[in-house]
Parts: sequence; C-alpha cells; structure tokens
Amino acid sequence: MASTKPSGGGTRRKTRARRAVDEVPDVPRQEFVRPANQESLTPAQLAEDVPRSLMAKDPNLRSNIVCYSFADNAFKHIPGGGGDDSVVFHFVMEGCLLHKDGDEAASQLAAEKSVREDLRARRRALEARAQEAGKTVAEVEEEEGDAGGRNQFNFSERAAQTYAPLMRDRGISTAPPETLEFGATASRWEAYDCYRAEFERLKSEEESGGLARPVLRPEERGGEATVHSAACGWSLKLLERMVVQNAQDELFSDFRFWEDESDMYKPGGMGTLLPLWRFSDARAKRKMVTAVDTNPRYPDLVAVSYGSYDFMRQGTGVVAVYSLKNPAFPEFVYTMDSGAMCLAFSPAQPSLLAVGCYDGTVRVYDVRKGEDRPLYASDIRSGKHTDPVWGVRWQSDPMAKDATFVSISTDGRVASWVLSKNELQMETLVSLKLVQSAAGGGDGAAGSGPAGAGAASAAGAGGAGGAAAGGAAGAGMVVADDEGTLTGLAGGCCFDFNPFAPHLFLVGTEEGRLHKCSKAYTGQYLETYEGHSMAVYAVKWSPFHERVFLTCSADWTVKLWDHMTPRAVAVFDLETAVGDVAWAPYSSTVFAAVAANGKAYVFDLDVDKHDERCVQKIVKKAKLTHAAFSATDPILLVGDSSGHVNSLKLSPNLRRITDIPVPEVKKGEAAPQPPSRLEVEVGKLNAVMLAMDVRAAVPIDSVTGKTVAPAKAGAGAGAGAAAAVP
Amino acid sequence: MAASEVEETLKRLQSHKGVEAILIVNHDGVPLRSTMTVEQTKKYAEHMSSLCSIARSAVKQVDGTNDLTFLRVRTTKNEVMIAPDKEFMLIVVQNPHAEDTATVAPLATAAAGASAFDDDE
Repeated sequence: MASTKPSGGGTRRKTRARRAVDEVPDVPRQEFVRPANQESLTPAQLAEDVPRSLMAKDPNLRSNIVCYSFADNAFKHIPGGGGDDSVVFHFVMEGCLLHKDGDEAASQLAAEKSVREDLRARRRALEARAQEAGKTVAEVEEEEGDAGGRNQFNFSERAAQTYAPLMRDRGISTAPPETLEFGATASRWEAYDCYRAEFERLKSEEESGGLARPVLRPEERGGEATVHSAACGWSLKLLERMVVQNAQDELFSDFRFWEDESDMYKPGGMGTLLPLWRFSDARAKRKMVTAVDTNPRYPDLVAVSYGSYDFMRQGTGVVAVYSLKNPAFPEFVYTMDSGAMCLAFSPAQPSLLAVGCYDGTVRVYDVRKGEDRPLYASDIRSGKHTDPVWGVRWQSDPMAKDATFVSISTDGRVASWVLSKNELQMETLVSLKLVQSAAGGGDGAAGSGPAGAGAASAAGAGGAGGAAAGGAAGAGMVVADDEGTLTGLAGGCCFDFNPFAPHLFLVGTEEGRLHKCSKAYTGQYLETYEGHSMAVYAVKWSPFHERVFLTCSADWTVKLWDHMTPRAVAVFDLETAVGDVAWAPYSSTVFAAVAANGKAYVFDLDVDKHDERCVQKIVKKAKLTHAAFSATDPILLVGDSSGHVNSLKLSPNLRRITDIPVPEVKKGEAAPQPPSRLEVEVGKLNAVMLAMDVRAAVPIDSVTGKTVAPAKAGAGAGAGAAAAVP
Repeated sequence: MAASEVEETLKRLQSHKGVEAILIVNHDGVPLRSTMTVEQTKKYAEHMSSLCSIARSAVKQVDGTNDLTFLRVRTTKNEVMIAPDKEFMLIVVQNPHAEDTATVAPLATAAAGASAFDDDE
C-alpha cells in the first residue's frame, strides 16, 4: 500500500476515494473457499447460458394418466394429464375490472344511471318546493332532513361491550402418594416355602405346640423386642453351644475319638477313666450332689440334684439339668427351699422330673417349661413324708391314666404319688416295719398302718393290722413288738423296682437290711436279707438279669445278690464307705462304684471276679456321692460332695462288649437265629454267678418261693479272698 | 424365654473363651446390638447378610424342602458363626485358639494315667 501525497485536485479526489475504500476496516472481505471436490468447469462452460423458464403446466406430466372409476368399474383414460393437480398456479390476482361490453358492466352502468337520475329528480323536487316556500334550498333541506339518510337529531350510536370475565389460571399440584419400592425374587423354593409355612400354620392350629423352633411373633418386631424374642433366644442358645464346642475343641474330640491305646498292653484288662468335663453351677456351689440321672429319651440331658447330707448344715436345694452339648452352663435350673435329695426322669414322659426333698416333700417339674415353679408340689395337705425323701422312682404302668411315682423315706414309708389333674395324691404303699433278726433269713411281718392319707391300695392290707404280727410264719424272725402297735418303722434309704417284674421291688434300710416287697402284697415283706451292717446307700437291679441286684453300703462293701438266695453271692470290699453303685447299660457284668475317698471303681466280673478293673481317684478333697452311666455314650458321670459332676470317659477295656456268637450251621438244617443281646448278657452273668456260688443257678418255681437250703455259712465266692461273711 | 435370660445368655456368650465380637442385626440390616466398632459392624452386617442369602439360595436349590439354619465360616484368623432368621441375624466371631485364660476347668492330658480334677472350691 503506497502512501501517496495529495497532489492535484483530480488526483486528490481520486486518491481520497481510494483511501476511503482501503482504510475502512469494517468492510468484510469476501473470500472464496473452494471445496476440494468441486467440479471445475471450463470458461466456455461457465459462459454457457442455461435457460430456465416458468411454465404453468408441469412439463414432466404424463399425458397418459389412467384412473380407476368406481362409477364405471373400469379404468378410464384421463386426457390432459390429471386435472387440477397438474396445474401449478404461480400467481393469481382477483381483478376488479369489467369489460364495458359485458353483461355485468351493462347492469352496473344501468344501476349507476338510475341512481343518478333519482338523485336529480329529488333535487328538482326540492328546488320546486323551495321555490314555492320562498326559502332557499338549504333551509328546506334542513327542515325535511335527509329522508334517506341518518337521523341526525336523535340518532345515537350506542355500543355496549359485555363484561369480559377475568381469566385466571389456577393449578394445584398434589403431593405424590408415598411409594415404597419393593423387590423380591420368586423362585421355586420360595413358593414352596410359602405353601409350607401355610401348611405348618394350619397344622399347628390343630395340635398344641411342641418343642418347635420358636418363630417371631408380630408384636416382637423392632429393636429390643427382636433381641429379646424367643426366636433370638433359641439362636443364642445354639450359638453358645457352638462357641463352647469351639472353645473346648480338644475335649470334644477326646470325648468322641480318644481311645486309650495302652489298654491293649495292660495286664489283666485294666482300664482307665479319662476326665472330660466338670459340670457345675454357681448356684450350686458348696452343695453336695445328691443324685444324678440321665434322661431316657435324650441321652445327653443329665439332671443333677444338689443338697446336703450333713444333718447340721442344711441349706436350699438346687436341681440343674445339664446337656452334654453345652458343658459350660446348665440348661435348666430349679431352686427349692430344702435340699433336693433324689430325682428321677419319667421313662413314659421324659419331660417330667420327680424330685424328693430333705423336708419330706416331693415335687414334679416339667423340664420343657422354662420357669422355676414345679408342676406339682406336695405339702401338708396332700401328705408328705416326715423325713427326708431318699429315693423316687416312676411307675411305668400303661394302664394307669395318670402318671405315678413312688418315693421312700426314712420315716419308714414307701408312698406312691399320683399326678392327678391339679394335685398330688399320696398313698402309702408299704410301711417298713422294723424287724430284728434272730438267725438266718426268713420272712418278716410288716403291718401297713393307717399312716398317711388313705389306705394302701392292695386288698391284703385291710385289717391285717396287729393280727399280722402274730401271723409271722417264718422261722426265727421275731417282731419287735406284738399286738400291732407300731414301735418303729425302719428307715428306708433306697429302693429299686425290678425292670422285669414291675411289682417287685427291693428296699434298703438304714439299719442295713434289705427287704424284698411286692406291690401286690404290701402286708408283708416277701423276704428280708441280712444285707449290710450299716446303712444301705444304693440297691440296683441288673438291667439284664431279672434276679441279680447289687447293693452298696456305708460298711465299705458292695454286694452282689440273687434275690432267691438269702446270702450275698459276692462281696467286694472297698477301702471306704461306698456312696453309689451303678450297672453299665452295655454289659451285664460291668458295674461302677464310687467311694468316699474320691475314688471310682469299675468292675468287670467277666474278666475278674474279685478285683476291680479300674480304680482311680477322681477328686482330691471331696467324697464321691453318686454315679450314673450314660445310656449311649461311653461316659461315666460321677457327682461329688463339692457340687461338681465329673464326666469320665471309659477306656476300651472297661467297655468290653461281648460279641454275639454266631451259631454254627449244621448240615441239612436251616441257620438258627443268633441269640439276642439280652440272652447273651444273661448267659454271661449266669456263668459268672455260677462260678461264684453254686446256688445261684438253682431254679425256683415261683417268684415268692423260698430258698431250699437256708443258712449256709459263708457265701462261697469261689476262691474269693475278699469275701466277708456278715 | 424371658428377656433377662436372653440378656444373661448374651453376657455369658461374650465371656466365653475366644469370643471376639457379637452382632445382632435386624432384617433391614440395621444393627441392634454390637460389640464392634461402627465400621466393622457395617461391614459385617452387609457382607454376612449377602453371604447368608446366597447360602440359603444354594441350599434350597439343591433341595427345595431344605433350609439354612446356621452358617459357620472358618477363616485363618477366627470363626464366624451366623444364625440367620427371617427377622434378625446373629453373628458371633470367635477365635478359639486365642491365648487367654479359659473359663472352664483345664483339661487333663490324655495320656495313660489321667490326673485327678483339681478341687478348687
């Protein structure tokens, strides 16, 4: 850009113009951008003229349009190409010009002409009138007014407008309804669950609830209520068991799997007892274990009663039910005012637990209920013993409507209690008459006195009274007093019913004597044995053999008897007072005894008739009071006087179970039936007894038959060194 | 079961050997009781409930009449025990091999000639 100096006029003008164009910055410059794919034409082509014309008629229109006509039901050829569609109007204007030669024009001209003539005529008339009246045309017009036009005096235009309503927009928006998002999965098992739950609900409405897993009720939902609900409690209980099992993993493994290998190498088949758990409860501290019983239906449940054997120091009593599945804490605990001395689970209804107390009352608890109240409790009105109750046993009479159990006490009575609808009913079965022995064995007379509420059930009781005293038929037995006055009743310490003959039972007394009695004949003892020299602590029938029983006493001995023979078949002398003796459920020749020196003894008569298979000190400073075998597990439960129940695992030597011999098949005969376990066990015990005492194998005609040869000195216990003759 | 018994059981549970934590959540996953920190609680609640539902589904698919009652997850450090229910879920975390004093009587060694119980009353 050259900056030229202004020189001449013309030149100045030119340059000024040029500068004006050049220096205006706002003029947009046009820039041409060529796209890459633009077609490039030659200048000749560019200069070519392309004609474009507008036509009214569509040049592309076809001339051979054919259309279907419904009127003629045929295709018709439309000439001229389809009518209105094909004509394009580019510009239309309605004109207002008429041709002067046309019709409309002529009529219009005629109308205009007539209007003009009319007006002229009127004017002439008006002028004529004006001339007559002598006024001007204007005045006349004023007077007459314009006849054809508007009334200019009282013509008013009136317009009115209607009231326009005020338009208003009003709206409401409502709060949206509460929505809840719900999602669920539907699968086959969920549908099954619903049906199942419905079915269960219907079924449970019919029958009363059992021990089903508790379900949360609607009022238990929410927060604390959920935590405290029964369902949560149940889960917690199970979880506690799991936690305890984890914590005591080794103990549980030992319980299940430990077998002492060294038993194979021990001489004489000695065994050991492996201590496992120790059950105890804070509430039962410093109390003695007075009874241990396992539940017949649930073998892991163990009921333990706590009380005191010490006359001077009596406290409250506790009954605790433990489960082997949770050794840390009892499942149920019941407290009572006086010490609990004995208990028993009912075999017919395993949730019923009968407990006998130190103050002579008996109670029945239903273990299913969680409360501390007994189902039944005896008191003065319903009758109670006047001395501590030492033993309770349930009656398994299928004919009886109500459950019944029997208790024995040192007040000399064996009483039966009937669980009627709302109370306990007491009946004295037998009154244990005190007898003094002269020599040998024989019958004793016992009068069933009017003590207690109601007469004894058997017919033989009746008016026996004093007359029975004179009717003592047995030789050598002198009744302490005659004429029926009850001088004293023997104090019953323990008793047991024969599992094979339920009417027959044995009673052990404080004086050391044993009496065989029958429920059917309560007037007299069937037989009296010179049992021990001190109180008999336990008498137990063998679970296999119907004639054999064991007794243990404070006179340091355990005696094995056949109830047909008046003298003990075998005597085992232990070093101190024997608290309890128990038969093993798996073998007829195995039994355990526990003593006051804290030792437990296990005997297996099949292996050794005189010595124990195992003697082991279980507790250091306490006395062992009771023992019980577990029905299904190889466990021995031993209660001691310090309030603990120790569970011990029996080593294999102590658990020897004899095999059932396979009978040999003789040629030509069918294979005989192998003997049952019961037969095997009975046979075993018979063999043992035979070896101990020849008379044990003597057959007896009737149950109440007397022995043939009385007063044989010394129970021939084979080569028994430990035999002691009372 | 009375509320007091439930509380007692809970307390006892905590005092057992090796129990590290107890957690109770309701069906929405809201924790009702917890002995853990808040974050831990949230983590456990969330993950254990999903594990539970998967486990339940698995059990039911295999056999439609069956149902899940308990779940035990053993890990290297501890064991988690879960009790699921329609309304709540109970979770207990335990490390049974923790080195601390046991609350139950010490076990006798299972050698021949087992020793006697100590009389500590």
